[in-house]
Amino acid sequence: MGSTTQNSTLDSDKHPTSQRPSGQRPIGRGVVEGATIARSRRLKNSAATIAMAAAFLVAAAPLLIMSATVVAKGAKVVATADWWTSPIPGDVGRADLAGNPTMCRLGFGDPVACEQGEGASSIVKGMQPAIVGTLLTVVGASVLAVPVGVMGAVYLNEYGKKNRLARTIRFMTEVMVGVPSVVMGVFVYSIWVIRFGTAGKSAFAASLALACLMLPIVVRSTEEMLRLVPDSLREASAALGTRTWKTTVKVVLPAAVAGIVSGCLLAVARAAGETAPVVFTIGFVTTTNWSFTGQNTTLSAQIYSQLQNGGSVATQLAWGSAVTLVVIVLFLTIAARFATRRLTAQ
Amino acid sequence: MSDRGDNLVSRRRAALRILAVVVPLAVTTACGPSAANSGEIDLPGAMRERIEALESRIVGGGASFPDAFYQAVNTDFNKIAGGELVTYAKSGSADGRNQLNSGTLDFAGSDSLPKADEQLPEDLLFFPTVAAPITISYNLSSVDELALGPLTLAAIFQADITRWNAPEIAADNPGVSLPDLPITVVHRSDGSGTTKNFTSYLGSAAPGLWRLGVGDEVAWPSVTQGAEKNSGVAEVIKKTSGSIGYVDLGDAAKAGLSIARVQNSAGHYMLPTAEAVELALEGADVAADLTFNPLNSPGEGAYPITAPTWILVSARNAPDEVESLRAYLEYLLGPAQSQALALGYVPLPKSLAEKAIAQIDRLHS
Amino acid sequence: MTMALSESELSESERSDTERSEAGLLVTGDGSGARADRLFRQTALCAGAMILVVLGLIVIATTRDAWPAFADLGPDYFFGTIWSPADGKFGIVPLVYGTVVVSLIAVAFSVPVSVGIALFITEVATKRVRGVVTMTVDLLAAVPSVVFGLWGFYQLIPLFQGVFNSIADLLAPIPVLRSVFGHGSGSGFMSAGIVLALMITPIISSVAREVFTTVPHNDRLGALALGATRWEMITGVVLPHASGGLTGAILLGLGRAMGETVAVALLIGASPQISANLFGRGEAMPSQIFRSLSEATGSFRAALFGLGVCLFVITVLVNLAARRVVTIADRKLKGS
Repeated sequence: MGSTTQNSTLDSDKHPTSQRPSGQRPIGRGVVEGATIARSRRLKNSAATIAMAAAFLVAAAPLLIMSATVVAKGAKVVATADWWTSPIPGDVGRADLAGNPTMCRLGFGDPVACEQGEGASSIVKGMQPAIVGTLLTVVGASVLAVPVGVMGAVYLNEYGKKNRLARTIRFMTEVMVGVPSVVMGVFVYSIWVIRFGTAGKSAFAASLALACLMLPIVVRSTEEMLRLVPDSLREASAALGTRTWKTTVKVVLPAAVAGIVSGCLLAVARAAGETAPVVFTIGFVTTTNWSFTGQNTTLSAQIYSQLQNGGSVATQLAWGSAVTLVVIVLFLTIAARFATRRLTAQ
Repeated sequence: MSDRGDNLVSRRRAALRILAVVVPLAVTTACGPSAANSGEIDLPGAMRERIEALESRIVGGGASFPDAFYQAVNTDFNKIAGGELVTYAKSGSADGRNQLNSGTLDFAGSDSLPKADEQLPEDLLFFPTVAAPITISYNLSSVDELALGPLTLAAIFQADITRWNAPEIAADNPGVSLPDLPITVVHRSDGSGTTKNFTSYLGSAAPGLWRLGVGDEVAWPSVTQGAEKNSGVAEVIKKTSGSIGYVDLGDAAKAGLSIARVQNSAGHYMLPTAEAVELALEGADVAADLTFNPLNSPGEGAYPITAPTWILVSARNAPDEVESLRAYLEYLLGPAQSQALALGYVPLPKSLAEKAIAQIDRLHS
Repeated sequence: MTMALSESELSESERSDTERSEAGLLVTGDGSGARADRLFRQTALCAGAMILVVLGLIVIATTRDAWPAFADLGPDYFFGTIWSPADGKFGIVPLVYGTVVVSLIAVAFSVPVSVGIALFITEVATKRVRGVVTMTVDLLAAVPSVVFGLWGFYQLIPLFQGVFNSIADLLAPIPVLRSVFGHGSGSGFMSAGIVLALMITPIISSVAREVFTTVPHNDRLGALALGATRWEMITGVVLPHASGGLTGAILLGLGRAMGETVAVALLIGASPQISANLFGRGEAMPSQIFRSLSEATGSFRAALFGLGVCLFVITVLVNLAARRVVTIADRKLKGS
C-alpha cells in the first residue's frame, strides 16, 4: 500500500507473513513431486521457478556491478586524510590539462609539465565542504521536518482519527509523497532564491526543500507506527487518570519510538541522496562553510557538477563523492533496519 | 607531502619561465618590478601585500567558456588573500550580464557583447581577459590530419555534405584517403556562447552559403546530434566514429580528440596553436571600449575561430568593493596571464593588456 | 492489505478514544491539565495542517511564477512541439513525450522483473532466502539517484552504444522497426529508461509483494488440492486475485519514474525532440528543469516553472489513480 519503498518495507517487516502461520513452508513446495503430474506441466513449473529466481538476479546483478564499480573507482580517492579535511580543488581543469599531449603539441600547456608528460601535476583531492554541506542540510531538514511530521502524525492518530480534516490531511500526505523532488526544489527556488537572489542560496534553503520532501514521509511512517501501539496501553493510562497529551508523550510515543526513529532515518537517508532540490537552492563553494547562511555544496551536487566538468581528476572527485554518499546513506538505512528490528522484537 | 612540494616548485619554475618569455607584464603594472618571494605564487611584493590586505568579498559569474581559467586564477588569488575573496560561478554569458544589472554580481563574465536593447549598468567597462580557439574536432581513425575550408565547414555543419569522401572535403585534403563513412555532426544542445562564436565565424567566413544564422542556439538539421556542454560534445565525438563538432580546446584535449586545420582568411590551413591564436588577436581591431572581434581575423598565420571573452564591471561600485575589484583585475590582467597557456587559453597581447590595465583606473566608488 | 486492516483498527480506536476521554474528564477536572491538553492538541493540529499549508504554497508559488508562460503562450505552451529556449519557443510536447516514453520503457522493463521478484519472495523462497532478497531490493532502493546516473553515464552508455547500434544494424532492413530502433550515441530514451527501470523495481516489487500476500491462503490450498502445480496455482489463483493491486503497483512505479530527475538528466541526452527512435536522444520535463532553472531568466524561467506545475499535476494524477485502483481492488477482495 505504501507508495514509497521505505514505507512498504516497514509494512512488510511488521507482518512479514501476515497471511501465513509463521514457520510454515511456502505453499507449493514439494507438492508437485507426484508422478501423476504430466511432464510438460512439471517442466513449465520448474521453468517458472527458475524465471522467478532469475528476476531477482536481474535486479541484483546491476546492484552488485554498480557497487563494485563505485568502490573500485572511488575507494582510493576516499582513503586519504585530505579527502575529509581539504577544500574542493577549484582548479581541477589545470591539473587535468597539465602535460596533456594535445595541448603541448599546439604550443599551449606548461612547458615543464609538457616535458614530464601527462599526469605531471598532482592535486590535493578534498571534499570536506561537500561532506559538511551534506550533514548541515540533512540536519537542518530533519530539525524542520521531524518535529512537525511527528506532531502531525500524533494529530492524525490520537486526535483527528477519521474526522474530515484528518482524512483530508491524510489524503494530502499521500499526494505530497508522490510529488517529485525536483518540484520541491522549484518551490523553494520560487519562494526563497528568487526573493533573496544569489544571497538566498544556502544550506538553509536546501534544508527547506529537503524538509518539504521529508515531511509527508515522516507523517506517514509515524502515523503507521502510532497505529500499531495497542489501545490497551492508552486505556490503561487513561484509567489512571492521565491526560491525553501526557498519555501520548509518556506512553504512546515511547512505545512507538523505535519505529518512528526508523521511519525518520529512512526519510533522512532519502534526503541525503537527493540532488535535484539541492542544486537550485544551495549555490556552490569550494571551501568549507559551517554556517546555514551563505552558499554551500553537498556530495550529490558535487557528483553532478564534477561529472559535468569532465577530465580525469574531476571524474575521480565524482566517484569519491559517490562512495562517500553511498556510505552515509547505507549507514542510515542499516540503522533504520536495526531500529525496526528492535520494534519487532518488542 | 614531498610530492606536493616538488610539484609546487616545478609549477613555480614553470610560471617563472612563462612569465619571463611570454608576458613580461608584471613589470608594466603599477606595482613595479620585484623578485619572486617566499610564497607559493610568484607576483610582485607590493601586489601581494595589497591582496593580503583586502577584506571585501567580490562575486562574479557568467560565461562558462573562460571558467577553467577564472577558477584556477581565483584559487591562487584566494590562497594569497587567505580566504575566499573572489568566487566565479558559471551560468552563461547572458545570465551573468543580467545578474550584473540586477546587482547580485560584482562582475560578469561574458563571451558576447550585450544586445542593443539589453538593460545594463550605465558606466559599463569591458575588460578583455584571455582568448581561446574553438577547435574543429573529429573522430576518424584512419585520418591523422584533416584540413577544412570555411565553405566545406559550413556545408558539413548544415548537412549539405553527409559523407566523409565527399569531393569538397577531398579538395581540401589532396592526397588523403577519406573513408566512405557518414558524417555525424555534433553540436551543443544547450544555449552557448561557443555556438554563437562558431556560427558567427561561419556567417562571416561563408557568407551566402551558411543559412542556419547566428546565435546561442540555432536550428540544426535533424540528422545532427546535440550534446550538453563542451564536455558533452567532446564525449560524443570521442564515442562516435565519423563524427565532427566544435569544442573548446581544453575539453578536446581532455578527451584526446583529433583536431582539424581550418583555412584562415589568407588561405592558409591553420591548427589552433597558441601562436596562431595570438596572431588572430593581434589582427583584430580593438575599439575604444576594448571590444573587438578576433573571429576570421585577417593575418597570414591567424587561427580563424578564435573566441574572445570579457569581464564586465560597472565603473561605479560600493567603496569597499572597489579596492577588491581593482586588485583582482590587476592580478587577472597581470601575473595571472601566465596561467592562461597551461589551461588552453592565450594571454592578451601586450598592447591590449596595457590598455586594459590602464582602464582599471576608471573604477571608482 | 494493510490499508484495510488499519481502517478497521482505526474505527475501533476511535470508539475507545471517546470512552477514554470521558473517563479522563471524570477523573481529573483541574484546569491546568485541561489547558495543557488543549495546547498539545492545538500544536498537533497545527503540525498536521502544515501538510496542507506546504502543499498549498507549492501550488500557489509555482503557479504564480509559471503564470506568465501560461498566460502569454497559452495553447502554444501546452501543445507546441518545439522547445527551443534560445528562440523563445516553449512548447512542452517534446518534453512530455520524453517523460512518458522514458517512464513507459522503465515500467515495461521493470514490471516482469518486479513481479518475478515478488512471486519469488512470496511463493518460492525460504525464510532465509527471503531475507536476502528483501535486503537486496531495499539496498537497491537506498542508492541515490545521482549514483545511478554517474554509473550509467560512465559505464552503461559506452556499453549501450555498441549494443544499440548492433541492434539497429540488425533491424535496418525492416521498415517500422528501423525507425523505432535507429542508431544512437548511447545516451537516449532507452538508456535512461533501463536505468530508471532498476530504480523503480524496488517500489513495484514491494507493493506487488504486499498484494500477493493478501491472496487468501485457502484459495491457494484449494488450487493445490486440485492437483495444480505451483506455477498453475500462481497463474490460476494468485495473479487473477492480484490484478487490481498489481495495476496500482505499476502506476505507482510510473509516477515515481516520471518524477525521477538526475539519473534521467545524465542519460537522456538533453535534446528536446519528438523522435520515434528509442535509441536516440530526447529530453524529459524534470531533467529540463534541473538543467536550466538556475540559469534561466524571464520567460524561460516562467516556462520552466510551468513545467514544474505540469509535472506536479501529472504525477499527482498518476499517484491518485494508483491509490484508487488499489483501494477498489482491495474492496473487491474483501467483498469476495
